[in-house]
Amino acid sequence: MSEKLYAILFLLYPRHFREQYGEEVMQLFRDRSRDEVGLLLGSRLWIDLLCDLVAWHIRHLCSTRVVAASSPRISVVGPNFLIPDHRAPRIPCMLLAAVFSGAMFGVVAFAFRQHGTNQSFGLGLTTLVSPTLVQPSEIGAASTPLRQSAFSKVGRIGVPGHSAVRQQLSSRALGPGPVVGQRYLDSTERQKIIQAVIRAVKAHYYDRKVAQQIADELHVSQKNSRFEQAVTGPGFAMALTNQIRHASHEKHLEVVYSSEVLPNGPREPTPGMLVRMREDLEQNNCTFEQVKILPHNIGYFKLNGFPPLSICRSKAVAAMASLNTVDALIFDLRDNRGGSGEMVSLLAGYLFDHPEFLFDPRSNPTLQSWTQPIPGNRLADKPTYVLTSNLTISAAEQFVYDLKALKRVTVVGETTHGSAHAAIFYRLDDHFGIAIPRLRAINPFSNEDWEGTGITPDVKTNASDALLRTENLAKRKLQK
Amino acid sequence: MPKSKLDPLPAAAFQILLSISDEDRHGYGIMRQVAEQTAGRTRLGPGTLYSTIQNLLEAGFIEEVPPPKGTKPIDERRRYYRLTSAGRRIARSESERLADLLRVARQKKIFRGEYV
Repeated sequence: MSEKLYAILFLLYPRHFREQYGEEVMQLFRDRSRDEVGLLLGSRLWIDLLCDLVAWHIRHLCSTRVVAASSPRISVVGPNFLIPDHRAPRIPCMLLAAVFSGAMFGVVAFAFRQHGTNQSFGLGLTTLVSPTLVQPSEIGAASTPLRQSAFSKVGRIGVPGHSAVRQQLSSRALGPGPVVGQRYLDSTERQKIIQAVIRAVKAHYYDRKVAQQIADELHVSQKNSRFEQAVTGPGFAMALTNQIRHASHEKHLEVVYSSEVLPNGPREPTPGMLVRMREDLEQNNCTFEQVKILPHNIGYFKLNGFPPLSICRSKAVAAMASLNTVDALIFDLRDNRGGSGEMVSLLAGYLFDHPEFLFDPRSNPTLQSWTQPIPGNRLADKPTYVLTSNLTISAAEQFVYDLKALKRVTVVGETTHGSAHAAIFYRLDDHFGIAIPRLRAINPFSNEDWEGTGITPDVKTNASDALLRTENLAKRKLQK
Repeated sequence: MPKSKLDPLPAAAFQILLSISDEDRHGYGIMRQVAEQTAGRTRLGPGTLYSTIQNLLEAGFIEEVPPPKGTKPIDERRRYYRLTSAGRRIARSESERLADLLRVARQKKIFRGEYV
């Protein structure tokens, strides 16, 4: 909630600044929110942010005045905010103006929301507020369609070096793009894109009935010239996204504009990349940071990813074997960025002496959806705890969600990140693409999964205190 | 000729240069280091931090570098910054300027007590 609030506040910074540093600023906010908890520190954080916003604007207003004075013949197309007066505006005036601007912004935003318009504000909120709507790893990696292959799965577990590639791809393929050189769309181009969207949705969206509804609404909108005002690429993409989400109530559908030409063919991982991924994983001990036995014979396994079984099975088996004789077990997923569902099944298998079904929202049930009993395993009846933070994401959340639903573990820490679904990216033309969820898996535990909401822990505590708290819980349990 | 945003060097920019003089840091790391080196008196807000970083990048005083080896996967998507030789020179020159000021202040007996 507070992150969304700050994302809205962040809109008061200029667009170029948001585009360049939006992700970093939101990360910084998340870091500070995580570290500065409590009434006093929390209030200080918000006071800092508000002061920074005001100070930033005052500073830049002053520097704008200098530029205006030194460049009298500056040529500006469209509205500008240079100040012709040689005196700086008074602070009370500026504060008053800020309050009025905020109020006006609120009224306009409310009015647009109430009327369900499909017009775009061009605020870049998609990436700020909800970075998981379409995951860059799924989108940036390939095209026509960009498959959710090993390539994207690697991205999730955060192998060093690979994330740099992912970042490069995502910023290249999806970056908001510079305003300079932005192309404007005429009605023929817009029609072409709309037709491509309809074709893609009909061909790939898992619910044909809803796909038809989307197509019908787009036809009506096109007929009523509802997209006439959306002349820029990002604006048109956002207008289309709003329209298809309105028709389908599916928030994972998204039309994306790229200022650079999208790649033509599928970008599958090359053998070289796979070799590097293997080397990276081996160097990083398959992201298994710590395996140790704590006092009172409590096993502790900190894993920062669920790496592919093909590479890390032996390390995972060895880690679990070293914990086979403990009296209680802690899985620390506070820094876990997800990865392979197969690894989730393998590790979960140690907690049962019979096959158990594990739900994965990204795939239909398969053989891997069932845990396999492990010969010689002695952990099936041991009390088990899972530590979470608000950074615990994706496959790590699958692990938590399933074991919590099966009442096999006690979850201690913070509500998890809330990223369950994934979409596949399809190229529409050189600059437009669309993310479409391919399927909806049946959830045996409830109607919903953890997308957008995260998984609430059984014992809520700060991530930094979770281990100590869990050790005490386990100790008390063992002493009973 | 428009005046450079870093002339004179703003306090925030100087603090950032000092914070990465010993190791590469990401934005939040810089913020924390600045807070630490000023005993909590300076907490750079996101707008100040990143606009100053942008100015320093444009001036060539710092550069963006890949995450250091052994970085936690969670930190890999962050942008890391390193002091360039030009940045080190400007930080040194600013330090010398402040040292000169301090010397004058001592001569004028501005300080009280033995700690100076």
